[in-house]
Amino acid sequence: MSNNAMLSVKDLTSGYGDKVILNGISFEVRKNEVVGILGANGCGKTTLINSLCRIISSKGEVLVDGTDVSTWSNRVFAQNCSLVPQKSGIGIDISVLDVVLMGFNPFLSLMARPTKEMVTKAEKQLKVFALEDRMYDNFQNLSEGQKQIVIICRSLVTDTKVLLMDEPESSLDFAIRYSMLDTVSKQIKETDKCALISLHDVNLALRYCDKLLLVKDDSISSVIDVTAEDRITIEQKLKTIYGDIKLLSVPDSENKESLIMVKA
Amino acid sequence: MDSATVQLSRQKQHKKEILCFVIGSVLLCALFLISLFIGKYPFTIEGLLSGNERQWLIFKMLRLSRSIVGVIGGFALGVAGYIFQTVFRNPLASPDIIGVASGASAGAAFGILFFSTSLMVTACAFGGAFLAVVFTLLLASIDRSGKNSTVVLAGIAVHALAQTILMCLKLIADPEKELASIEYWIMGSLNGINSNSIKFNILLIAISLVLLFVFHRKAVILASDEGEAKMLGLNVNATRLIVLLLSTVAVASVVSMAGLISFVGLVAPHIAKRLIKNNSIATMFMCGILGSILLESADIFARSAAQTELPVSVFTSIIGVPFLVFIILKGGLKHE
Repeated sequence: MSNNAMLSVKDLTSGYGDKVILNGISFEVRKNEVVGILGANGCGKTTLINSLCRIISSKGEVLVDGTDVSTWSNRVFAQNCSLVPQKSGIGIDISVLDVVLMGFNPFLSLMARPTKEMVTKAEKQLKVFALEDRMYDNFQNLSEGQKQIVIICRSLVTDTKVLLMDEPESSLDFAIRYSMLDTVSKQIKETDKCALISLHDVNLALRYCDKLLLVKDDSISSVIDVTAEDRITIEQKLKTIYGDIKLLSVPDSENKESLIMVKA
Repeated sequence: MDSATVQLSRQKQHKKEILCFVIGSVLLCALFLISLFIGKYPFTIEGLLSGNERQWLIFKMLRLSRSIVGVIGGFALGVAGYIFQTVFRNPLASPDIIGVASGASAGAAFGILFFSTSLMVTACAFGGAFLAVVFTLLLASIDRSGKNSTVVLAGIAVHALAQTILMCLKLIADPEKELASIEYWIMGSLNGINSNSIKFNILLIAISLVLLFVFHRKAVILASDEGEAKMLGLNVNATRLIVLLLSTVAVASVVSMAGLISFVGLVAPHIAKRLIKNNSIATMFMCGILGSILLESADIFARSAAQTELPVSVFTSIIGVPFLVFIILKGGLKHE
């Protein structure tokens, strides 16, 4: 394990029943790093996130900041890692602010209520995503995209070291998915966190992730270092997953070169 | 919408919540007082003040106990209904979803047949309800994924089993005496409650309610997906077990004293959520107050509507059903 690896996964095998979905996967995510998981539908992106979150059982070793998580209680685990699921299952009427405050649960004892400081933090986090005027609204009355943003706020509001996101962009429109990942990546860089994000949108991944894990045939087929590798190398690696594609280099609004993937 | 407007609407909602509590509490106090003076044996404030021994005895032994059970029992049913609807994310969930009522009925029938003293009937009903829930949760634990749907399925199985036991007990019951007692018990009534038989149950209800309020925040997190709740630091299976057992103890304590009381646990949370529009601890408290109002008023009607005392469930249903229909209609119109 390298010295600044925040999340280290060694030889992870997992699946459902007898069916192996991921076989002996190993990788690392360093402090301040945003790592994306790419792959076709059903390749095991969600299985990987769920295995790391211990939602489904798996074999192998997972270290967070150098500590084996297997002995951690759910509470200790949640103090260190937070999850943004594909879709939140909250099925009751509850205010948006209360949903964000749920993020503090691992840090509160049974009798404790969220402190004023926590409430202020939650309000600030909602403000970052321009949802402060909805904070007392019923979570159920929000659009699916807004709900997803609230769940992202819930994960970002605390000081967990590892942020795990499972296709967080799936219900967001074009503009919001870019601003969401822009904000998430900035927060990861500014704090001592790291993020592992499973994504469908390759262009989003190329723009905001430092590294990309390409999952194919129950393992990581290759790793792309977005910041270090050239366009041709990245294109070759992406072709192994997406087939006949082309990577174009276009200047963005800040005149930086940005890679976009198109069907050839 | 600017932040000042948001704060203003928040303050408006807060004022509305306080108003609901004040009106609810005043109404409950009024019902409690009315309930003290309604019944077969008439007595007056003058009689009590003049130290009339017979009136004091009726007041202390019967009326006061009955009114207290109306308030506390209704409160417990309302809070337990809220917990069940929250944990199972199902607006129709009630304590019977995991076999509480059917277990209590089978237990009470067993008590009526084999012991016949009211204290033993209460104890057997409590035991039956508790056993049914423990059996449901044990069955559900076979599926290690810990899904809510598994608990519901196990509850259906235990409910069917308890109903079968109840039928068998009814078959061997004397149709003239015991069968009528079993049927009357199932209909639910606060009649026959006296100060000697309620102390233990009231204590159990009080303890479980306090603990349920302590667990409120965790119960709300249980209303997420299992994996999500786990990643919010919750030991999902243990927390669900604790919360359901506490609700069961509260409901079993009420049911074992008063028999089956329908609709209170179902309707009170719906009205409370309509009024407070949230799932805060205030909503849970409001569910309790509304449960008390429903049961206390139903008991007043049960004692005063006819020459003989009527089952309390008749009136909880008469009050509850129109509310439920209203809620369904209003909800349906809102979604259209």
